[in-house]
Amino acid sequence: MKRLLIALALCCSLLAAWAAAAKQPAPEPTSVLARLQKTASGVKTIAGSFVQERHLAMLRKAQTARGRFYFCQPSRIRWEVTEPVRAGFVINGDNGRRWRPGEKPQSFEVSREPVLAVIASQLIAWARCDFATLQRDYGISVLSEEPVSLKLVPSRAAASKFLDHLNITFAPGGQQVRTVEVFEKGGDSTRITFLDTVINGPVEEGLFN
Amino acid sequence: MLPDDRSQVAEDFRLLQKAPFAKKVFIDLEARPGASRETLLATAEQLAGRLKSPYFSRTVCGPADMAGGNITCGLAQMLPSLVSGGDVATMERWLTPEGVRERLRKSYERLFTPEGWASKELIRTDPLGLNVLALGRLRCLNLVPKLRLYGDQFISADGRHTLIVADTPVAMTDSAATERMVQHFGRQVKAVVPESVRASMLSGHLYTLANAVAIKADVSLVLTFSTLGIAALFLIFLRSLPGLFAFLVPFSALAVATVAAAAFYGTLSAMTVGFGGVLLGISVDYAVLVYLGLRSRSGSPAEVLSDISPPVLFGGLTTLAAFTPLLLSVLPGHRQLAFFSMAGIVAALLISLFVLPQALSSAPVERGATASGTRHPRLPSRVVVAVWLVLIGVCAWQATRVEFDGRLRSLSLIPDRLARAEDDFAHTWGGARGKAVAFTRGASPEEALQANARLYDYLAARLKTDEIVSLAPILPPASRQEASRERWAAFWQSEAGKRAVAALLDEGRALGFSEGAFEPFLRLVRHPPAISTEMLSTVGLGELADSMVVRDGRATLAMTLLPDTPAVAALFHPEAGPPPGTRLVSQSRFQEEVSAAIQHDFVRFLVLAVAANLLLLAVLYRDWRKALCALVPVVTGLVVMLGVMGLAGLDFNLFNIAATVLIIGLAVDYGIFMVSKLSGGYDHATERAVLLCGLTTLAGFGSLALAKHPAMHSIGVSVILGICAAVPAALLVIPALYRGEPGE
Repeated sequence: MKRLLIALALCCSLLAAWAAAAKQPAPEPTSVLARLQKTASGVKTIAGSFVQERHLAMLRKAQTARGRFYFCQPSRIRWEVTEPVRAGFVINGDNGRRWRPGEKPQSFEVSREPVLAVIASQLIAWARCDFATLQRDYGISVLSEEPVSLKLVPSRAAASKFLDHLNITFAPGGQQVRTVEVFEKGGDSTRITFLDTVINGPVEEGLFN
Repeated sequence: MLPDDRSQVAEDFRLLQKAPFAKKVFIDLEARPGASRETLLATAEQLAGRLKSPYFSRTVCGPADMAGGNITCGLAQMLPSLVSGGDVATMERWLTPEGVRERLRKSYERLFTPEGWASKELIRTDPLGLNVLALGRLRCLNLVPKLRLYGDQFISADGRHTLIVADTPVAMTDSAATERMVQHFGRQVKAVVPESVRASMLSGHLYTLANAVAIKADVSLVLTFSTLGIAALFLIFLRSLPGLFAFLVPFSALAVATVAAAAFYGTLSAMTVGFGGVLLGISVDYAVLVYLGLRSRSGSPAEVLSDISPPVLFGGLTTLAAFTPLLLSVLPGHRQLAFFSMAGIVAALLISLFVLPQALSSAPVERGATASGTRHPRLPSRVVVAVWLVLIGVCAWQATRVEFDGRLRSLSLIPDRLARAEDDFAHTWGGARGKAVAFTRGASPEEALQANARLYDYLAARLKTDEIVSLAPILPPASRQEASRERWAAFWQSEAGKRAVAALLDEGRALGFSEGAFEPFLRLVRHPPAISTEMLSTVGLGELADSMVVRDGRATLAMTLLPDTPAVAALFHPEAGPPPGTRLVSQSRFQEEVSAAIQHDFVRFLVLAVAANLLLLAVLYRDWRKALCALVPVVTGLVVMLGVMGLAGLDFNLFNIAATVLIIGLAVDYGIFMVSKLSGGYDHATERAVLLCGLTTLAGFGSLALAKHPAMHSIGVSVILGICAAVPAALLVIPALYRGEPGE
């Protein structure tokens, strides 16, 4: 369950970063985060694609997947892998639906699915750039100002057993996140590259049913 | 007020204290409308962090705090020690080469999903998804049915509550420390809990505190009211300065009783101290009779003392005899109360017979001091006796409706807010606190687990498995675990197992898994570990295991939690054939046992008290008719008390036993005083003395009836009923019976 934080950080941090695209990098973490949060306050929807590469010791080669993600205020999330398998989940408040390869879609209550519950809470926190909440789980520092790059180190003992740190890098200009890298204890890592992101564009309601 | 002997009741009460969560403190935080879940959970973390020594030794907000781990990984590691023959057959069916390929592909694809982030170690340990064979066993660990998880914190099914479970070094019986603990909790709540969140605490300690607070308040009320009542009666009836000497006798007796009881027992319960007000009312009787007799001028002081000393002495002895059986009670509270009362009565007797006459002899006789007792018109004897018989008959009939009440609730005060808090907790989290507990005992942990497993087998065949909370499905005894591991090893050494491993490695290479990817799984295949409580700790089940398998002296107890219902209780009846060495304990069964103990004690005390009084009356009068006359107030008081209780639908509880003893001891005094007066042919203001004695007793017990604590209130009401009937019986019925005696 602790590794869920790895997943959540990946999925959610991007959303927050885009939503809070900074116009001018600030010299200090507090001002950078504040600027990001201010920008995020105007975000109502996010939609985009991603490419996920996992470098795991248990695999001989990197595992690559592609997918789509959607976010809609206040707490609706859709994250789905489209290649090479179709899998994903939708969370809409306290309820959700997930699908896995070879299985029928299943509905669930978020409170009964601790893994997805944490993913959802972190997703939403990142989408809103709720750094007050995020700073409970991570120590956040600024690696560079242009492009903006943040380093997140887990502060909770349970997560820090498995997760070493996260790096979130914005595209030049800081308007969107380019990559999220998750570094696990033991050497495994995951890199997610984001493409074609649209802020405040139309998002079908049916995507969250 | 619960047994401290080796009786089954005492043993069951001791076992009840060992039940899981019996000594835990539960803190429920509720998000009010408008409060977010994040605020709720953050508040819980902050509050938990501030609850510290010396009042709280450990706080837990979720399984992560309990040295948690991955439960599904843990189940995979435990599976070899759990597999049944049926599980092995299922593995043979699942793990064909095609089945292995399909299962491994699913595991590989799972790595792509967001949940796959949490599955890496599980896939290495259990690439074929065999942990589901053990998953069903977790149903038997559902101790808090409505508990869910949100992240690493407890949350209710409706998402509006979170839970902190705390350990405390404060003993449940220590009301002073409990009060400090509650104050500490209140300060921390004020410091960190916002208006949008409501925090409440629930534990057995709060009941102790509520009772202690109520008893302290009641003791003050009782002592004040009884003192003022007796003082008022003295002013009304005596109206003389020397009367002050008589007024001081019960207070002197109370002081002696308190010192003697404190010296013998060390500490006095508040109940005993509260009974001091009653002792005032009892012990004043002797002083009143002596005082009124000496002040009546119906003879010389020596003559008066000669007449009234025997009834006073025997009155005291009969009261002492009535209290003596309480010294044999299994309840320490009863024994202390009896010692306290008897010490006070002895002191009152000695002071009344030896000190008071000396004090009065030096006091001037006031003008107008009455020489006679109360005058009242004589009622026709037959009418009086007839009315009395009818009253006895009706009350005896109603008395058959009285039921014995052994409920724990009637022994202590349960404030409405606590009762509501219990109901709210059960509604939010499920009935974790109200379950019955079945104990199995073993000389060693292994023996206890063997007995526990036999009990589980017995119960699983008769109840739904989700009604049983037991460690047996995931922590079998070592012998059963070994048998399971042999089955596991036999499968993997068979042709089917070898083909499965080969298929796993081949398909793994094809999918891109590295050479050592499944090494944790292969270690399980070759060298499966035994399940221990330490292993359970690594997967977050250690806290539960520790609470359900405990040391008890040199033995080990294993516990199974069950619904507290008659159907479950019937399974443990000897005729149902439960496994030997099991014992079911629950609140409802405890109530039945206490109820049976009450009835047994009641009969024993009543028989002993009446027998002792009969013996003393026989020694005093050597005439069975006089002895029976002296018992008229006793019979009347008891029958009317029970009759009115039956009519009013009041139940008979532990404290009514004490009241019954008191009525016997007091009412027989009135009978002795009246019979001695009528048979001795003297009139030393006896009737006035009996009336005043009755009224002072009512002043003492009347104050108890005002108490909020159910125990004190119960004694007060029942003694008032008895004495209100005993006094008129002494003043009216005894003379009527005497006037009807031939030759009198």
